[in-house]
Amino acid sequence: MIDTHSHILPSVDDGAKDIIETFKIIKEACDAGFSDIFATSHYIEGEYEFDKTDRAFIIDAIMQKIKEERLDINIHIGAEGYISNELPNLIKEGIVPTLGESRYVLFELPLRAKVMYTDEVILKLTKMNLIPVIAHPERYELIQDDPSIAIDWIESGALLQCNYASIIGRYGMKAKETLYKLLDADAVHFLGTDNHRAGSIYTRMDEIKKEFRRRIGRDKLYELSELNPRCILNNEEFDIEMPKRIKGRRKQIKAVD
Amino acid sequence: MRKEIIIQSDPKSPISEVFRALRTNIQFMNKAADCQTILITSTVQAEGKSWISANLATTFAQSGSKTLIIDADMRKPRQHKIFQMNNVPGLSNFLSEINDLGRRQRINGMDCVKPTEVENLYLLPSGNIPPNPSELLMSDKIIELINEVTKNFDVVIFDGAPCLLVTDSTIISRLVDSTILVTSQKYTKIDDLKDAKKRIKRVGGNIAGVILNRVEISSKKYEEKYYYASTNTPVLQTERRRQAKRNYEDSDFENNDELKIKNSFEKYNKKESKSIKRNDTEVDEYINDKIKDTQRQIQDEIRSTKFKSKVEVPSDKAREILDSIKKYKD
Repeated sequence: MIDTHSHILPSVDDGAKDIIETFKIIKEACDAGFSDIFATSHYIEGEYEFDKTDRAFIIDAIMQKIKEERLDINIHIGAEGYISNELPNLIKEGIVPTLGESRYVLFELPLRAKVMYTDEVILKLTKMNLIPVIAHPERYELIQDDPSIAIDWIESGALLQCNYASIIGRYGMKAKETLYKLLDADAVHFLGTDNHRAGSIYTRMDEIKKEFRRRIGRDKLYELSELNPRCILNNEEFDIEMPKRIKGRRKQIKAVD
Repeated sequence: MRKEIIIQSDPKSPISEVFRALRTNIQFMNKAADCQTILITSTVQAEGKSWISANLATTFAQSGSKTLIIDADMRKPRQHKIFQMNNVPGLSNFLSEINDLGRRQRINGMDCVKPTEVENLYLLPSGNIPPNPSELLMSDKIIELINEVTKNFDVVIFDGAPCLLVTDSTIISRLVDSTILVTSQKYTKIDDLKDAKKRIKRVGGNIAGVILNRVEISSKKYEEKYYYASTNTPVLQTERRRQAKRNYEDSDFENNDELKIKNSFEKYNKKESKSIKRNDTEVDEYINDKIKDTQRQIQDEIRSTKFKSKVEVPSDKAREILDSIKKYKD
């Protein structure tokens, strides 16, 4: 399995506090059966501003320690960007790294507020020959209210990464229901843990995988957790299925007259 | 540009033919009643307004008329997505006199008009999504815009909002020369359509006619191609794949020659069917190799240029973390 979303780097963001916790998490990941992890610590302007070179140095140092400890796992560079009009420029200037230095760019939206310019950012990124990947759409209030917005994003050229732990209700019932809707509509392309702490998600992977298998089957889970993320590692493109339109009431515009 | 512009992506399909017929009908109307500005609206959402207005505008542009398409659906704009352009500055910025950074600024209407990839076709996008589109459209500025635009363009097409849900389109319908209603088969309700007609007539708008969209066509009657020519292709053609294709087409001129050779082989094959068939597959293989080569080149280029960081020294904060990692022992 390959984890496309994690916060394991020590004291870079709100993830692992120190190197001791980082190694606790890495060992848990090994036990859970992960072979590769993208270290996607936050990059938020004015808050967490570790640039690409710093991340590369930290990951190199951690990889050395991993080899000394003889653990069978690889950490790859990455970042979870925060949506803004500046994001495409930051990537162009090499401040925010892409996932494993491939063409895939992971970024998140605010959880509660509604951002109007998502499509513009997606368009800008695709024009730069990059592939935008939107992190945990099922956690956004915007998508919980109207999941078909996520389908619009896919049609504009973005891919979606959902969180493993949403299926066991870690982020609330609404997120769980939204994840079900997205999975049923073939609108999920990657799965990631979004793991911040030791002893949280990696220790519950058995339970999570069981839930996923029950919902989408063994083959589809293999595709989302291994095959598609492998394409990021190899910097390849893959064909996606046309997502189905999500049924259910769409918020209608009220008549004014 | 997206595949949705069928006139451009597949000019020989029956759908393009239908659009050309529609254009001729409107052009004939043009002489009788002088209709230069056309509003396209529907009863409720998702009946195909934007798709039809984009394709209709493209046919007008191809016939040589200087055409402008105005995205007047300020609640759910789509034209900028179809033509893959920026949505700001646009109509709402012009009407509200607030620029895309939120500052007050008088914006000239013609400054917001941008040329599209189609020759002769221009787009005025909708701009930032305003909280009060109907009020903006009630102002005199829209009349000013229409006057200015009709001087500069031969045909102006408004892509409106659904007219039963919001009043936006009803307001525009009294300003334009004629209105076209889009309906879709097995979706639009007759009572809704009657209601829409009543509303437009009440404010003094002219209805030119009704377009019936999404008609199911039996595959026996037409070629199979028709069926697949619709926008609902089974596999999504995303931007990145189109981009790769475009890069490939731009980058390799030799390959185009190869394609020409391939075409000539095909023609030759038709004359003398079996003798040269093996050569054809060889050419195919050659082309496939070429495609793979160029794709690899593009990827290498991206790796070497875009993702090169400038200074290879860790910052102070990072150095602290590095030290802590070095000290770490199990």
